Order: sequence, then C-alpha cells, then structure tokens
Amino acid sequence: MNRTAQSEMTSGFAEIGKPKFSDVHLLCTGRQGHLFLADGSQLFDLDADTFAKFVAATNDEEVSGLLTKLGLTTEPRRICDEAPTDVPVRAISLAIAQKCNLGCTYCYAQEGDFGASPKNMSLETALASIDLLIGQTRADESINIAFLGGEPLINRSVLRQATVYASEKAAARGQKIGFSITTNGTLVDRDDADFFERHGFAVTISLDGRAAVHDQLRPFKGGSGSYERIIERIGPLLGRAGRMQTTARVTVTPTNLALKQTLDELLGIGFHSVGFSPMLASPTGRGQMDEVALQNMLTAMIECGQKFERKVMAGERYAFSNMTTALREIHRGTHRPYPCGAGGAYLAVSADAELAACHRFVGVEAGAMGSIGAGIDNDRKNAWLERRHVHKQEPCRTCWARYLCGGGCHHEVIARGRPACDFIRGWLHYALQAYLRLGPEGLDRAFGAKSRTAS
Amino acid sequence: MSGDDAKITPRNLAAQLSYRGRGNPPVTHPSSAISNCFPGLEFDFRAIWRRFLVGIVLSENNNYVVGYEDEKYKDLVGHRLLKINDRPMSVLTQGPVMPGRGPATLSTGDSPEAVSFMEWSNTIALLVGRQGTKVRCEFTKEAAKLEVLPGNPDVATQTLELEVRQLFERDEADGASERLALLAESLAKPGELSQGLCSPWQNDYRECACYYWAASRPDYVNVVPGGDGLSRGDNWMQRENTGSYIVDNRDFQSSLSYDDLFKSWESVLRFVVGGIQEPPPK
Ligand code: SF4
Ligand code: SF4
Repeated sequence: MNRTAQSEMTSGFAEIGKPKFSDVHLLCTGRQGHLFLADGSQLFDLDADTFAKFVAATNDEEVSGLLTKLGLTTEPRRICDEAPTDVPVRAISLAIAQKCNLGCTYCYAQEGDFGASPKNMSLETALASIDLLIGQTRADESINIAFLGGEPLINRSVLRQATVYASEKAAARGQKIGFSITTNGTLVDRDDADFFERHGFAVTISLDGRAAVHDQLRPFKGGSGSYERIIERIGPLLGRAGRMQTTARVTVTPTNLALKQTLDELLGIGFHSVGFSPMLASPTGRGQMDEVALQNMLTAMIECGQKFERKVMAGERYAFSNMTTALREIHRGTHRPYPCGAGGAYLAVSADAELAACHRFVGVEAGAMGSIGAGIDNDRKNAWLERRHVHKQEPCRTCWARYLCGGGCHHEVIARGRPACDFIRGWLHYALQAYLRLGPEGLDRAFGAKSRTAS
Repeated sequence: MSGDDAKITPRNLAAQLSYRGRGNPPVTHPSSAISNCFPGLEFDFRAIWRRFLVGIVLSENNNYVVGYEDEKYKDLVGHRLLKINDRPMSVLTQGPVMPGRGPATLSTGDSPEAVSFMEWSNTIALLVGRQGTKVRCEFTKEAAKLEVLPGNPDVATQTLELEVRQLFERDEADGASERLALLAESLAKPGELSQGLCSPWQNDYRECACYYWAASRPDYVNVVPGGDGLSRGDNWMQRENTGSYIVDNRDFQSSLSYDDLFKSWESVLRFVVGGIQEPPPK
C-alpha cells in the first residue's frame, strides 16, 4: 500500500460505516478495506487504492462509475421494481387462542385478545385453514404451520387435533410439513414435550431476561411474576434434543438492556438458541425503544457478537441467534425486496377465520387478506406486495441495507415509522465485519463444513 | 493507479458466484456458460437415474424402461414411465421457429409428440427425500417406442408402486443408522458409473456441432478484422490454419476427423494463445 492511499484511508475512516451511498457500503476490518454491494448482497475485499477511491467518492454517480470499471454493475438489477403477483401461500399461522394469561406491558395483541373479546379458535376453523393451505400447494413443496396467540396452549386440544390432522394429511401425500409454536411457557406440561417432539416442533419461548426483569415486563394478569413458573414448566422441553428445538426470544425494551447477561443465563438454562428483538411499536407506547435505548441495544448486541466471535474461534458453541442468522444471510448473499413473507407466502388466520397479512395484522383492516370461508383475497394480496415493495419505501429506496433488511417489519413501520434504521444498519455493519473476520475457517467452526455450500 | 490494476476479492458466496475474473469471456460465468453437467468429465450424473426405482432399469437419460432387476417387472420393458406421484417425467417442447413469430411446438421424426424428456433430473431433486419409500409410478400400458407426452388421453396407462432406491450406503454402527457419503452399491453395476463419461478430446469436441465443448474454448481463431467490416480467420477444426474459414460440414478432408482425434488428439488439437492458434497461418 502506498503512503497516499494509506493516509486517504485513515482520514476517511471516521466516515466509513456511515450510510453514504445507495448501492454500496464501505467497511474495514483492521487495515483491509471492503465493499458491500447492495445488488445481490455481494461482499468484496478491495485493494487499498481502489478502496480509497470509493472513500473519496462524493455521490452515487461517481460510485456507479467506479463499479462499472470493476465490472461489478449488472443490468438489469437483480431486484426489479415490479412486485411479484399471486404468490402462493406456503405458511400460515393460526391465532389458536386470542387470549392470554399474562399481562405483558407492551403486547401487540393487547394482552392477547387484539383489543376485542377473548376467544378460542374452533377446531372447524383450524382444520379448514389447514385444508386451504394444503389445497394451495403441491405435494413436493414444504409447508409450515405456526401456532400463535395470545397464548396458544390455552386452546391445547384444538392445537393438538389440528397438528395431528395436518401431519396425517401431509403424510398421505408425502408432503413435508413443519410446525412451530410461540408460547409464554407458563402452561407447558410434560405431555406437551412428547407431543412437540413427536411432531418436530420449533418451540419459541418468550422470556425477557432474568427473573426480576422478566417479571416486571411479563407478569401474570394479576401482577405476580411468571419467571419461576416458566422455568419450572419448560424444563422437560429443554431436556429434549431430538426433533424439536426450544429457543428463547427476548423482546428488548429500555428496561432490559443487559443483553449479554441475559444471553448467557438463558443459554445456561439449556435453550437451543437465544435471540433478541427490539420493541419498536407497542399499542400503548409503553416499553417502546427510543433512540438512546436503540443505541445502547446496538452496543449490547455487538458485545454479544464479539463474545460469539471469540467462542467460535475457540471451537465452542454459542447460540446467539441474531448472529447466526446474520452470518448465514451474509454468506449466501440473501437479497429480497421484503422483510418477511407477510402478505406473500405467509398469511395468518384469526380465531374467527379471517385472513391477515401476518399474525400482528389480525383484526387490522390494512392487513386484511380475505377469510377462510371466502378464500384468499388475491387482489388485496397483490396490492399489498405492490405497496410494500422496498423500492416503494422511503428512505429504504436509497439505503444500502435495503435487500438485507427489506424495509423493516411492516407492522411496526405502519404503526410507528422507521425509528430503528441506524440500529439495523449498525448491526449489519458489525455482522459484515464479523463475517469477514471469521473467514472460511471461522464459518466452518460456527456452522460445520456444510456452511460452505449454501445450506 | 488505473482501474485496470484494481484487485478485488469476492468474499461471500453471492460475490463468488457472480464474479468474473478479469480477461475472462462472459461464458466463463456460471450463469451464462453453456457447460456440460451430464455427461460429465468426472462423474456422469445420469448414472443415478438408471436404477433410481428398485426393480426396473431406465435408459440413463430418459423415461424409457430398458431392463428389469425384478422378474415381476419384466413386462415393463419397452414401456415409458410417464409420471411419478402425479409429476410428469417429460413436457411439451415449444420454442421459436421463425424470427418475429410466437413459439411453436417443436416435434421431430423421433418425437412427433414433441416431448422433452429431461424432467427426470428435476424429479430426482424432488424425490431425494423419499429414498426407501414407495412412490406412484404411471407407465404406458403398452410398449412405446416413440416418446409419449404424459397426460395424453389417447394413451392407456397403468400405475404401480415402486420404491425409490436408497442412493447412499448407510452405516448401521452403534444402533444408529447414518447415511454415508458413498453411493449405494446397488445403484450401479460395475462399469455403469463411468461408461457414460465424456472423452472431449477424442469425441465430444468433434461430436458437438455447435462447438460448445468446452465453453471457454474459442472456435473462431486467427481472426483479422478486414476493412470492409468483415473478418477473416480459421475454424479451429480446420486441418490447416490458412486464414480463410472453412465451414465444418464434416467433410473430413479439410477438417479434423474422429480418426485423427482418436489417434493423435495431442498433436492435432492446437493451443490458442492470444487468439492465435499455433502455428499461425503463413
Ligand atoms: S428500514 Fe431503514 S435500514 Fe431498513 S432498508 Fe429501510 S432505511 Fe434501510
Ligand atoms: S410484518 Fe412484522 S410481524 Fe408480521 S411477519 Fe413481517 S416482520 Fe413479522
């Protein structure tokens, strides 16, 4: 590296990492400069002089010229403006019980009932939903059913009958089917563990931290703490290491930001993996993350990530799921114009058989997608995908992270806008660096040699 | 430093897949290259298909039953396998015939029904999860020398349940059954895995009428642009480099023959350096 290039690189360093261009993002690991190309989520090492030229560029046009010189521009772009239409549904969630025994301060479902009167889903609705899903798909396509609530285990009997029905129906036509459940854990019994194991459930337990913190955020409706009870109840689930997996999902609010302790404690209890997501929009505004809290969360996430890097290089497992997900997506170069499958390949069914873009849109007009009785409203679905395409979102259209982020959770964006962009980009910036630092050897250690081929 | 000296290294899978080394032609890129995956140089993937279903032997590239392993399927020989679990093994071939016109059905004398039989390889991808289980196989009721389009109402069919073979050996040690990275012995008889392999130098270069073997091998060499906007050069299969192109109509007087290649491919096939095939024309 010559002297000018070096000094150019150092002088530009403070700026590197800040969002500057819409098609590329620049980053460093040590003295090595890297370029992330939004189109196709491609990641490169650059030699010092080339990197310096990108650092010195002042606008998108200059960047585009540099990319062309390097042979990195492709026409047409990998993701076009046009939204896909008539996307077949491959996954549904069933709001099997729109009621809950907890009174979480920030719940999107407003303590389980989505602001309406509490109800259970009838067996009839559950089975009709399964018929609808299976009817939409070919036997060689895999499908997924998620049980959500409220608290789904309040309606255990329908949940079980629906699961058995769906597995038998899928088995009869040789179709692969996956089940998942998100539960608060307070009602789990030993029998559930056998059942989940038999059907290979992915079980997610919502836990917000250690006892004191958790109990403040996720008390029983009467106000007493739920932590002790959950840990006692989920014991039999954690013991299983066969077909089912139990992971913990922590909703992060300004009052439970000690992520590293939480992560270590929950992994210590025996969860298969632990992940965090910030509370960005709650119906009452309580528990929502503000700018400062998000900045603190980012710092805490990076701390967890750094521990992950150390552990991986030491050959130990450290199942911090935000990190493993980010690394997988970066490795493959995931690029998509949506944050999730909502309103596309994924729809939710409410207890009273209405279809919604996703579980959070139950009862919300903006996300209505027809009903089990009348069928999927494809016009609404197409219009949704058209409207929600990341190229139609501001400021996403020109954000370098747009195809990894997809524009943020539709529900949160519609409710509150996009307060978390710096957090999202900051996290991705760190994850890209971690990916580069780990290198092929680290990735093999983290995921096994299989990771080298797109698994 | 000019852009030409820039050094970039693709790091993630996505970047590696899209990467085109400097100086390489577009066809070296996986998405634009026409390259052979079967038959291959190291492994002929079609070998998997032949004995994919327990009891019968299929043509290696087709849905044609050419033999049987189990006496009870003896009568299936000469029949066509039309569908597995309702999924067709072949599809209608359509494509452009005249510029500016829409696609037409492309039938040939050998395949009046315009059947593309290549669906078997997609089918394998969809059925790998079903190894060791039975699948519903729809065959023609009668022997069918010509290709048959699945779903043709005029063709009588019969449906049998056949087992998808375990493609890999298993290790049954310690009570657990584990799949090994080793093809099952029952999948191929001795010689079958290699008998379909390519021999490009002796065969495929000559065989391939559109010179796509191998994709990055230039087939128009010693090219000199002319003042009239046309160019002069040699066909790489010409016996002599003369600077004037000979259309390869397989008149083996003027272009290399199979015999030449089998006997001495090392000397008749020539290196191309910087577009010039040695020795350059006088
Ligand atoms: S939500 Fe924010 S971070 Fe995500 S793509 Fe849009 S602007 Fe970028
Ligand atoms: S819209 Fe939000 S809550 Fe719904 S599926 Fe997408 S990310 Fe999840």
